[in-house]
Amino acid sequence: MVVALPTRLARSYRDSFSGENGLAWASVGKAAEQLHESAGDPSVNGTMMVAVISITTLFKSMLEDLTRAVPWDEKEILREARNSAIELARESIDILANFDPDDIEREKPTIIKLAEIQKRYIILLEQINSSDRAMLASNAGRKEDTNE
Amino acid sequence: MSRNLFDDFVAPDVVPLSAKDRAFAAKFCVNGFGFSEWIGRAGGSKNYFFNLDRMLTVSKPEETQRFVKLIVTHLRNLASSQGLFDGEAEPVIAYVCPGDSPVGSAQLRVALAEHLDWRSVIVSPDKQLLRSRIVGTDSVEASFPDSVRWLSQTRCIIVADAATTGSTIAKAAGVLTSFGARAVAALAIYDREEGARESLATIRLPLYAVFNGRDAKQQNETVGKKLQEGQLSVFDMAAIAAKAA
Repeated sequence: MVVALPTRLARSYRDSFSGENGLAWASVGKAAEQLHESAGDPSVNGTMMVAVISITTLFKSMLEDLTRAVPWDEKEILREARNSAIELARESIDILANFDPDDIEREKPTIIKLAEIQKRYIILLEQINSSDRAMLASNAGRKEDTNE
Repeated sequence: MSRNLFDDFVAPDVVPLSAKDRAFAAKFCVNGFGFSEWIGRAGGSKNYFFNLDRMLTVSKPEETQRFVKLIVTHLRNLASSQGLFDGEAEPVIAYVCPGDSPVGSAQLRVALAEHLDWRSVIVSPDKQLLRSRIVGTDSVEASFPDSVRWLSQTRCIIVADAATTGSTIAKAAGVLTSFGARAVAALAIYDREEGARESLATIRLPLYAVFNGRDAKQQNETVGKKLQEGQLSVFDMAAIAAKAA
């Protein structure tokens, strides 16, 4: 049986999404790039495509939100967010490493699981955003007080 | 007054750059956007490559200075427009930073800061985290949300390297709103004239450009003609395209 290219890539990356944080993020970046390129491989069918798109979208969002030019001063919040995100990335790559694109019935729940991982990532961001919105609102209140 | 497809919105008139200046800007940017239309017609993959880094560094320093000053002139014209700012407080410049070109806007910000002492921020509309969407501090020590506190109730000019459909600029305007600021106008260095002006009119945001698709096309046609006449070799074109990529 021919193992699809994204699955082979996932197997090669599954051990690199842990350990020292910077190296794990470098692996997420490289994996996102290679998985994106692998989508055009002849071994990728429609079922596999759904999984690959789901994972590359997640990885690219993580890189954009948590690594590139992040102007955060609260190192602890950033560290926690990054650790949680890496854990989600690891779960995703594990799923892809065992993915069987030829058995769509078996993989339907897996695809839903990938969507749930994306949802958990959005919730992670929303927790930070809601606390930031509250801070901004109190900030505006303080500004009005000052103006008075 | 120039009218848009949307009759209820009329973009305020702003003193335009001369045709000569626009042609210079388009010519100057040819290296920067890597013959985008030419490559597009040739079937290349990077149809809309626009590299602000290259644009600001590849040419001769005096040409770069002239180009930067053109942008400054246009920004000053916008700020002095009666229909936009009515001579009120200096606008804030909001540089758009799309996810795939994070360095260009920062470089442009530094270049323009030599000529304009207006306050500025970098807006990253592709980021989902509120605290990462706007970078701009009065003091490098200030942390969120104090780093963006000053932005509330300011009026901004959004500056983008290129405008295609206007979606990134519209998203940037939304981000500014969420921080209590208001986008009053947008300035694209290069308006490809592919719908951005019209789509931004729906949110009543007038779009202006240093040069547009017609100016760029003229430059590309000149290049194409020179190529046909043998004044530019295929080797030259390949080298230029490789540099741009």
